[in-house]
Amino acid sequence: MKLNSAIRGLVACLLFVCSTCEASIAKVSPSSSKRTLIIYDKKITDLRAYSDYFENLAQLELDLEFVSVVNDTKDIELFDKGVKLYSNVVLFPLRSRKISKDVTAETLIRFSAAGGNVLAITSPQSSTEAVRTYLNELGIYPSPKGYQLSDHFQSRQDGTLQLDEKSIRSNEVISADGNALLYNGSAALLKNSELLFPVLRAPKTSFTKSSRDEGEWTTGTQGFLAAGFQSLKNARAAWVGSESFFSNAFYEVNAKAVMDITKWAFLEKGVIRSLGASHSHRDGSTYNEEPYKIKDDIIYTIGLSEWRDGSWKPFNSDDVQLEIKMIDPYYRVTLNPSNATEEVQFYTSGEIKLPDHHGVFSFITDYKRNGYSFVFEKDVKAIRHLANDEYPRSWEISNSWVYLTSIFAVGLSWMLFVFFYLTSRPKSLAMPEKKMQ
Amino acid sequence: MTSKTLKTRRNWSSKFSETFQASLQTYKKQIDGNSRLKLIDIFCGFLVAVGVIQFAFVCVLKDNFPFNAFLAGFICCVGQFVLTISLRMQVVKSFEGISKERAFGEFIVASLVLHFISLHFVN
Amino acid sequence: MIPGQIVACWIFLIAFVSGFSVKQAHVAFKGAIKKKPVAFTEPISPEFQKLSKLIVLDAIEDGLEVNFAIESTSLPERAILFLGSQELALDTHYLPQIKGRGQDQSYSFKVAAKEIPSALIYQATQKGESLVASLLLSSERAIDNIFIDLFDLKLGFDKPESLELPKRLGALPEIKHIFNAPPKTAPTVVAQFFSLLVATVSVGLVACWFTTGSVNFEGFPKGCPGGQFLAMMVSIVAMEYVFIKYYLGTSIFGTLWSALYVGLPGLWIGSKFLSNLK
Repeated sequence: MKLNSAIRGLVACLLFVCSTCEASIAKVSPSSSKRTLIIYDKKITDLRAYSDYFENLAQLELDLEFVSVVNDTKDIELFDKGVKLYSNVVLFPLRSRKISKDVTAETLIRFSAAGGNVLAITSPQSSTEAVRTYLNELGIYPSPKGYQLSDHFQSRQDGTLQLDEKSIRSNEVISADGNALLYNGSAALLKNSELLFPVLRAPKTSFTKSSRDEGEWTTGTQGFLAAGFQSLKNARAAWVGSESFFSNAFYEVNAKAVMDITKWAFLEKGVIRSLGASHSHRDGSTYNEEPYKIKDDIIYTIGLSEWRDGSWKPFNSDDVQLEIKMIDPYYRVTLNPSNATEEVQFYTSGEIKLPDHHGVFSFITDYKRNGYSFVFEKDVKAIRHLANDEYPRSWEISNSWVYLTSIFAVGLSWMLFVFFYLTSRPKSLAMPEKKMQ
Repeated sequence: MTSKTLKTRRNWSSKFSETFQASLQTYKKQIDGNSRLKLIDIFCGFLVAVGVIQFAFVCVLKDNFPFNAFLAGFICCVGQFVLTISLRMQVVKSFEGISKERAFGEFIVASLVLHFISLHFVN
Repeated sequence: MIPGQIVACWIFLIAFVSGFSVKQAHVAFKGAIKKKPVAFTEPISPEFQKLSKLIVLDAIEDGLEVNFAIESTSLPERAILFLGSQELALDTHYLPQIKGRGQDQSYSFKVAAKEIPSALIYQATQKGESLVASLLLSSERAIDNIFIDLFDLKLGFDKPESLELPKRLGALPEIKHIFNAPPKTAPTVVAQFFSLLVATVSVGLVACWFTTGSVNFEGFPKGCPGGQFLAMMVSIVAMEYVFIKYYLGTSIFGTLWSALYVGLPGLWIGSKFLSNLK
């Protein structure tokens, strides 16, 4: 009972701390800057055909800047003296070989590495080498120019396919609502990579083929129509193989999926953060008050919240794990949800008995799931050995009784020996000595 | 078996018993009437017995936990035995420059130190 | 390769004429043991029902062929044989060899067991799932495009292989630290027995001292040395008492001080007594 109330006290304390620090930043979106560059090709993209999409983008309070690659007067730059200028870049299909003099595949990779988000849209007509190389770096291999996704089992004249719910491979990005999506474009092959995951998959009867009949780029479910990539630094890249997917013509059907992908790419969706992990003795006293020693019982707690629909909400999951590690993991336990506030879901390990090895241990929560931003919490603490007065005393161990009796027996008999020795008369003691002398 | 080997064997065993008898005689002569030597020898026998009992205990358990306590108990016996034998040597024939009484005083101090260490080590 | 492995035992069937008129559809086997080809008794059409009979490949060297002929007037643009596992949601596909001119074109899909992707082989041999072979025949704007499950394929051989799926992010297996077993302690009876043995030997020691006559109080110091002797004995006992107090929990510093208080006078009086003995 005592313990229970102690835990409750601890949790209440935590909640208080969390909610106070919460209040100040609660309404701030996880994407700090909203400067967004939209690169398009005037010759093939008429922005008016995407007005619905851009209207919705504006609702995300993004600071949109449009630039066409054919605009000779202004060169496109993503960096100014090494400083990233934009937080998001949207690449519409381009027909030119290059994006600009300064923006190459390497620039895009550097932009990603610097934390920039990229939404790359390709189409069967696009052929920009820089974008293709960049996508290949991520592990996305879009079909070459002229390859179109078709499906003989869907009789549509213009090559537009209907994608049913089975095509949606990532509920974290696009939450399926049972409605089919419309897609007219190309497909890509995806590399096996932990950081890359499919968002939309091609139907089984579909294929990607060029009109010039050079064999199929993808056959059936080999092909992917949209994919997401998140770097270890939580910079995101999304790829969609169709321009018309975003267009006004399909917008009525696709609006939700389109905005889901865009929000995801721009860190407005699937963003989780931790409210600091903490751990303590089971009675609530912290490490600083009483350093851990081997076999101590501790409780580990972490709070996670998710940015959803413009505010922080509790993040619910059943696979948040804690690792207690010293080179090798000694423990890897799945945390249980404990209590939740309006914004945070707390997870607790329950009581964990620390290992019977002393040393410097790391308490790690490494939560990496496709579609969510990665959470990494690490705390390094020393676990000490028992002090010399913390071992059980010898009389508590039955084995020692024999040795203890022996020591006392020797001590006692020695005292008697001394007494008897000094009181006995050495009768003939002098004799042999005299002889020897 | 050849007679030769029998002979040598008999020779050997008789030689051994002769030597043994002689040693026993000398020993008896040495302690005869010397109550202090008897006291010392019996005490030494006791220490050996206690040491053997402790060792037997470890053997029976096949486990020396708690090892420190075993060491303390066993070393207490061995140490006391060594000290007592040293005393006996000096009682029989005192070392040059060290009187028997001084030897006994040193024996007491050393034994006390040994007992303290044993109790400290047994935890 | 042994010639004549494919047993020419055609069962002629006129396929139901739909979008594509597929004829003579059958599965032929390649392998050491000769097996009769299995013909599809039902016409290949969108309404085709999967063969109730399992198709079995007995050895890793074996293979099979799915053969049929299509009238040249209605050739499909795509003809693909899929082989997949439903459990893994994974499939591979085969393209046909097309031969013949004139009225009929013969299509032949060759599936060699050893060329089946390892994930499917693992699933079929270790998990015992039958792989599903399905056929796709389609053309743009055709009315009756065919995409049907043909048969279930069982791999009758054993290829012990561990499946290494590509790494994906996700929860890792749980680990619980295994503690060292607490040290065993003897049953108290045994410990008590041995302690008693030591005590008995101690009593035996005293008894032995007395019976052998080693103990006589003839040399008991009298007079002034007697007092010194008693004082020395008392200080020895006191020292042992100090040690026992230390064992029971007195701090080392307290012990040092009391050892000093008891030991120094003891040493002084003891040495005095011993030098008097000479």
